[in-house]
Amino acid sequence: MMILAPNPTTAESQSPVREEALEEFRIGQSRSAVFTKVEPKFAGSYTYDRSVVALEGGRVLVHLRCPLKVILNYSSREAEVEGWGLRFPISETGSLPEKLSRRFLLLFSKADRGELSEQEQGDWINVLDQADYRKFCIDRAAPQYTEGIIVQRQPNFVRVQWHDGETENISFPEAGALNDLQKGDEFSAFVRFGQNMTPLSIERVAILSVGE
Amino acid sequence: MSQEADLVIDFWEVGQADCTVIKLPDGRLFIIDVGRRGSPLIDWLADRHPRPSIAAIVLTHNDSDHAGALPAILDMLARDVETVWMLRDRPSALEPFAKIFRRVEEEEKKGLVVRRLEDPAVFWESQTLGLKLHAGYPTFTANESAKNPNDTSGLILLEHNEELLCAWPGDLPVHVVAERVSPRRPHVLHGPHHGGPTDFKGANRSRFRAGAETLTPKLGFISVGSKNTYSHPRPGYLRLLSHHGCRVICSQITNACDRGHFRDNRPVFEGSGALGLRASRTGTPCRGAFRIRIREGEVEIDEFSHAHLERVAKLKRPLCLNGRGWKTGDPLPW
Repeated sequence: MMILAPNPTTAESQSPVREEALEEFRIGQSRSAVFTKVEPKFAGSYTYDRSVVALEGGRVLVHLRCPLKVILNYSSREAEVEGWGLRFPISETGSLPEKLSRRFLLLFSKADRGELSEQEQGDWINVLDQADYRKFCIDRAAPQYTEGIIVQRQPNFVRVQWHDGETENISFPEAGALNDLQKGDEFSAFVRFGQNMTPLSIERVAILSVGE
Repeated sequence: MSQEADLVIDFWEVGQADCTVIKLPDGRLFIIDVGRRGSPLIDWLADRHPRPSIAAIVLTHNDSDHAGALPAILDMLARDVETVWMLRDRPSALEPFAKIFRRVEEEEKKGLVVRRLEDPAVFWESQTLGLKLHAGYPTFTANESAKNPNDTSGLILLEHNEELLCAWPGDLPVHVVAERVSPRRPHVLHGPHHGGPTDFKGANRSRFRAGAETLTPKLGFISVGSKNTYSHPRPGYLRLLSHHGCRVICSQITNACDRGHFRDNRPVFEGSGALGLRASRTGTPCRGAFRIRIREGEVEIDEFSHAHLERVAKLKRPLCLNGRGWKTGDPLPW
């Protein structure tokens, strides 16, 4: 599957050397001999075609706010993802999605531990500009302990008042976890919250006190 | 690399709520307000291995935007929390107070230390470093006689040898904060009340103005939710702070400053990510989270402040700058 699209603003003139380099880049195999006579500053700009970077086997997604720019430097036989501090041999372009995941995870982990170098700090800020960090945090987060009371049961939703006083209609299938509860039951559960506190899943339900 | 900071203070971005985490020199955490249900603080704490030891959780008052995340934190870390400090500012049977604090009661029976927050409680002190975290308000009688919970929010103060470094007044009116700390000015002021002080309008308006002028901090951190329905922060309050030379930093952006960022949910600066913290599930960051370090009694702001300020200068109507008479194209004031 093609993951990089040529950037129309930097479309280069036809060149046999470039074509050969591109061929190597496409098939992701080493053919270093073709680069021996390349012009020193001969580079091309490409756009990463995908809008997400998948982590943890796809369970956690990093949504990209804008297409990533990948610069291929045929003379050094290197590709660089602009702003990410990520460089690798052109021949490894086929594994770009994995490299992006790893780079994101590495920068995030170092930021988490307060171990970013000055250079990495700059890269991380660029990455945060290009990625939706909140969605990533939401995907990554574990369910949170929450308490509530069943206010109303309807065929298509369950109305819950949470422990902080806010009430919310939870639709199915998420509300399915509350099937065994009746109106007035106080319960605890582990809830995964999404953007704007929408419940994404409810699990490990326990009854704290029985209602009607 | 310079020496380790004595204290690292993270002002979290938690939407229309409050949360501050202080890392003490011995590695324990000191938490002032925990944010709402679903607070990103819970996600961050769940990611710590080994589990952190929490010297104290202090709730400036018992509203859900300051205390709503408490049940989740106690469920996860009750054995690791040494003390919970809280007010007695409303009947315990009152909803939703009773629900938020059901878990506290349960843990107290199992040994959690719960203490009453009132002046002159000292939460933490280091004579070597000259630092002290203590309550500046309310007194016992003020707490008992208050009609409105926000009138007796706890006032948490961080001092270095009598110099006032930081003040966390919760939702306390500005004139009360000023009366309690006068004649000192805090280096950093948190809020109060998400930038919409309760005395900003109404009968106490003149006392508010007088209080704000005597109080003026060097830096004000406003924890605000982008889509709050209370018109927080008050543009007039931000302008007033800014006019008196205070550098104002808001956690999230509202449409008063830039409608485009607000509408498109486009962060001005993702401070929570930059500092390795977790993002709020609601709102759009302006600064996001913000960090200061205390080193030998000096307040150092984090390394991302200038990058944030450069972006703020590109907003349509940045209230934090306009109060100083700053206009687009002018040099940055800090």
